[in-house]
Amino acid sequence: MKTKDLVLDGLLVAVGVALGFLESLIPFPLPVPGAKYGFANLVTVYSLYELPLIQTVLILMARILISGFLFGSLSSLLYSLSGAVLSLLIMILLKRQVPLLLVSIFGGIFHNVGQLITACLVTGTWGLFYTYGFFLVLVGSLTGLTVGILSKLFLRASERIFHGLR
Amino acid sequence: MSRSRFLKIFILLLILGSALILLFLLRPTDKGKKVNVIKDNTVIETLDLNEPLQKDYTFGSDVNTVVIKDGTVEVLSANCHNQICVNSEPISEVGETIACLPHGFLLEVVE
Ligand SMILES: [Zn+2]
Repeated sequence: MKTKDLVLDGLLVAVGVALGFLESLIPFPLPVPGAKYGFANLVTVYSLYELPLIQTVLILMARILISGFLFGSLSSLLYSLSGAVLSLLIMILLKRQVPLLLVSIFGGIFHNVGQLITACLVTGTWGLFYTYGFFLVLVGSLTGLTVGILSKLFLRASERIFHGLR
Repeated sequence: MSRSRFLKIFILLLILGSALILLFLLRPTDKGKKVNVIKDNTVIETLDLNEPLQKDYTFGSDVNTVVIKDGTVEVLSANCHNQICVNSEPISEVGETIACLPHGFLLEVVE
């Protein structure tokens, strides 16, 4: 791994951890500790389009582990991991098929769906799916849309900044 | 934009839309749940389970204090001799009851 890549990866992990911390300050309606909106997905969407897949996965794992150890518990780690992994899988699947905005929207939705499934498994109540499903899918598409728009801006800006650098 | 790409976008949006509609319809609603307050086999009042409330029901020297909060109802205090109604867990499901037999006083959750 080149030094440039290493610096960029470290930077992205730091941004992701900061975003994760910020959104942990906003209350989340799912009655389980550690469930989040998924704004830190910004880093994942960005790296998915800008970097090789292996780097995207490494950045994601580093971000989740660091966030988990700094601000979370084992259960919050479980929630962010399940949300992030499901979200990433869906986005990898969709990336070649549809435009970035839609990829990000579905990433946001499945971030929340992953957490909801985990919540159902942990609490053993599938009723949570009916109670929170609508809200989480709606919120997921909105955060996904926001993340998508921001990612587009960042991608455009980074193209200018890194032009000639890489 | 190619035709197949357009089709994929359309299908995904369709899935998203129908999922949202379906989940919206599947949402459980507690709207309409009520509590019948019964004294000596007669419904004397029907309360809304979604409206927080604390109210004393006094008949002669018999007092039962009823509390509704968070979609549940319970007897907070009463001056009956056995205190079974006070010790009953809060109820919220249709058909559940809390009885104070010494006072002939009954709470029942209904649709
Ligand atoms: Zn009693």
